[in-house]
Amino acid sequence: MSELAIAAPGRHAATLRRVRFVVWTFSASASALLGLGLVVLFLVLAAIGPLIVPFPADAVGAIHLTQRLLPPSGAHWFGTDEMGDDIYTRVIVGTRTSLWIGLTITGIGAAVGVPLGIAAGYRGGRVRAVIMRTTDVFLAVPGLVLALAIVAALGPGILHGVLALSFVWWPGYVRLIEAKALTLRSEPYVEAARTMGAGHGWILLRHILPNCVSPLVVKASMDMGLAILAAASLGFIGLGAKPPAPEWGAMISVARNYMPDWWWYSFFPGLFIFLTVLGFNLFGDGLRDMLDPRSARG
Amino acid sequence: MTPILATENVVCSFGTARAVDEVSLDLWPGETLGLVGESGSGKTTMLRLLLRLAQANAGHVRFDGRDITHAPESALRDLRRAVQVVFQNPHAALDPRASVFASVAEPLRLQGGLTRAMLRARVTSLLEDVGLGEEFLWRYPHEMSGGQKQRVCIARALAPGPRALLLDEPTSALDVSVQAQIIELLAALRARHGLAYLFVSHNLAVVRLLCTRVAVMRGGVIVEQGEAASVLAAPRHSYTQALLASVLPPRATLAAQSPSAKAVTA
Amino acid sequence: MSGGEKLLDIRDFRLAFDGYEGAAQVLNGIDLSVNEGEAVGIVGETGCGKSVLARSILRLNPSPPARVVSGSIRFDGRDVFEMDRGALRALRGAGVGMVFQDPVTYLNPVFTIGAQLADVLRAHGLRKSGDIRKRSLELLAAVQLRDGAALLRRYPHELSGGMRQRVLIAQALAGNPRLLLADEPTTALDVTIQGQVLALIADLVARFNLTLLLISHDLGVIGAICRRVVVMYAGTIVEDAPAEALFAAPRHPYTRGLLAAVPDLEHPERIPKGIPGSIPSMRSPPEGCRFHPRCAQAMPVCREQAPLLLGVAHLTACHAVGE
Repeated sequence: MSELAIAAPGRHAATLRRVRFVVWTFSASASALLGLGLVVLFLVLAAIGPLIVPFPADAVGAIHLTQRLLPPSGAHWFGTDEMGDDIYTRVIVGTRTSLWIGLTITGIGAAVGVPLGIAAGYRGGRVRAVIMRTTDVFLAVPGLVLALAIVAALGPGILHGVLALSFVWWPGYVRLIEAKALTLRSEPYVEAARTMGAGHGWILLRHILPNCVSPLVVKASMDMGLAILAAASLGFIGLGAKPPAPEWGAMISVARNYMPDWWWYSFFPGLFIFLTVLGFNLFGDGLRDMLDPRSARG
Repeated sequence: MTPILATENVVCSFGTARAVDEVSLDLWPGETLGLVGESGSGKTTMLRLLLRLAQANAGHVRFDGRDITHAPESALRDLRRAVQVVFQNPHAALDPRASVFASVAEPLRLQGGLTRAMLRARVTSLLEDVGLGEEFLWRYPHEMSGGQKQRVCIARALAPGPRALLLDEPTSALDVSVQAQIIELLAALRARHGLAYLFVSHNLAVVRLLCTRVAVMRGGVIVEQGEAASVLAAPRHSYTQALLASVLPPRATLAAQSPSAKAVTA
Repeated sequence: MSGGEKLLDIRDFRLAFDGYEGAAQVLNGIDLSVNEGEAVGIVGETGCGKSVLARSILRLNPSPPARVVSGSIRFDGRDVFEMDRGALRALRGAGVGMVFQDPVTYLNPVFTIGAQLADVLRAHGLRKSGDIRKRSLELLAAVQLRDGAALLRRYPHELSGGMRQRVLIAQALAGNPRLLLADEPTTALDVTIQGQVLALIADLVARFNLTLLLISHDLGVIGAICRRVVVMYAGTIVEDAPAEALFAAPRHPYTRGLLAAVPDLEHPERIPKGIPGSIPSMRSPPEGCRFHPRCAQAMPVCREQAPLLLGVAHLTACHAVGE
């Protein structure tokens, strides 16, 4: 046991070196840091938002008709909407909604797309042909239109909107992972594993999958922003979240009718959508630069 | 005594082109056979055929006398343990996400039956065998030099206790001073473990050092075969002679050289 | 052999690469002068800086992260790092022609040979397509490629490795350079083709009165066409001597180690010996002489002071070599 302890420092030293390198690369880029900051802010608000808002009842649609459409003030930082609800409260609480929307769409998309991509890239032949052609068909249909059609069939509501978008999202992952798995399949270390008697399962789990993580993480982080934007778009057309749910897109949908006199109603939710998508995009870009094999050699 | 590995009139085609065209070759226990040729000669394909990484279109591949040409993977367990490979490019032959320990332990884990402590002991002793200290256990490929990575690859190849090592240009991607170290190491390991080597290379000087027998390939066929010393000192085939003539010795030869004015066909 | 003028004059050149974990001192005080008409070979292993040095002559190192710390590189008397863009463009191709290592990646796969040669010729001032074609055919003939007219219409993938390398050499000659800089020109080629391409380079150097700077890790290649050899280790020049003297009686311990490590087909009884240790990291190189941790003859002074490159015709940077 003591033998392990003496030599163990080496084991974690490598991870520490890698973490320090990651931190250094990230902090060298102002845009990556901005992205990181916005993403962290988003996550913090999603986590503790509902606990710190001044008017929690407003988040679920309490009615205060006496204070309808008040401009931003000390009491209501973002003003109030047509029901008298505090917009600041609804926007902050909406962060949590946006988070689970983004995670669910991206999560389901990856959960379906990654295995299909790996199967296509690794097996090749007929399996690949079938999977890739099906993916091509899905990619040919405009995503939002397809999601609209699905929601129209299922009926409006956030859940249906999310499911519809997940259905549209997975082809992107197939494309990405298939390309990566295809190159990985012929890497010398994979062939070496085959000469040791490794079966397909072993190779997939220990060599193919771990080396797919980098492009996957980059795509997933950028997708978060895009998924939130797509859900907001559905909400905007009225086919996603329904009022009084505090979803940013749904809020703008209603706020549309109150432009331009009561500009704050659509401005603040729109600002949050913008900052969230920007944050995830910059963060994803920063990750990609960092995970680039050339910069990984330090 | 049967050869560890043998091919009999084996053919391997890619489309209509025959990379290996009815080649018969034997690798006997304890010997070091050099397989010499340039790009497109088929030497790498031969190596892959012997490892069953490539499929023969005709002819036979034999292991310990047994025909394994079309054997399913499940019947090749003995082959996988007895014959291992060291590839040319050490930078690509190690999983960039795996530590040295994970890479060298992989064949042992695939065999099964070893506890973590036993794995650790065995990997440490393998690393020692190739001249690497314990501090390399947790290093990653991008933290090591080419020579160190190649040593790790050799350690990994020795892990299952093979009888033969197939080496594909193991020193071509390395610096000259490191090349000498690796050659020394390979010679020592061969003596210590009684290994047979199939040494694929285009570097005649290195082949002359390590190999007892040599086979020269060109365009998918063996053009000359025999004792390394005699083939390389007095080759009979014109291609072998051309290969020998193009070797540049580490000497100042400018005065002796007359530029050839042969034009090259487009 | 013409002139005897210093065509290339590198004085105490120091270059660093800024990166994670600090700056790497890649070139550490290079002193090298090449007279017109000389055929010089630079030999060294990975990380010695020979390719970086070659690219520095044409300012091809991306800057950042490359940074000149001190010293100068003068071509025909003019400091390369003080040239304006016009002068630099004239230097590249017309003053110095560069041949790179890998013909696969240095030729654009989507353009014909003719189009790529035309590109280079246009960059050097030729305008009329008739002139361009004539000059292209001349260049292809100079590199001993037959049937140039048909070749102009071919794509790189239709040519063999040796032919592609000859095209790269033709491109390097397009601007009528005075210095030919060849960075590992035969490393990616088959052994039988290597000899032909080297013979071609030697022939061109003689015919067009070129000055040659050949970079290689292969001592055999250097010995075949260079009259003078410069040995580099970890960013410094350790020995600079006429080829015959260097091969017959090397003075620096590293050069001796290098020659002892190369297998020689004509002397199979000599077992090659590796040099113990490994190449140092450029971010924290050894103090004093950079080779001392691996040197059997290391003395206390080697740890403290970097030796100077001293000598008359045969220069060595080593405390153990008296002069």
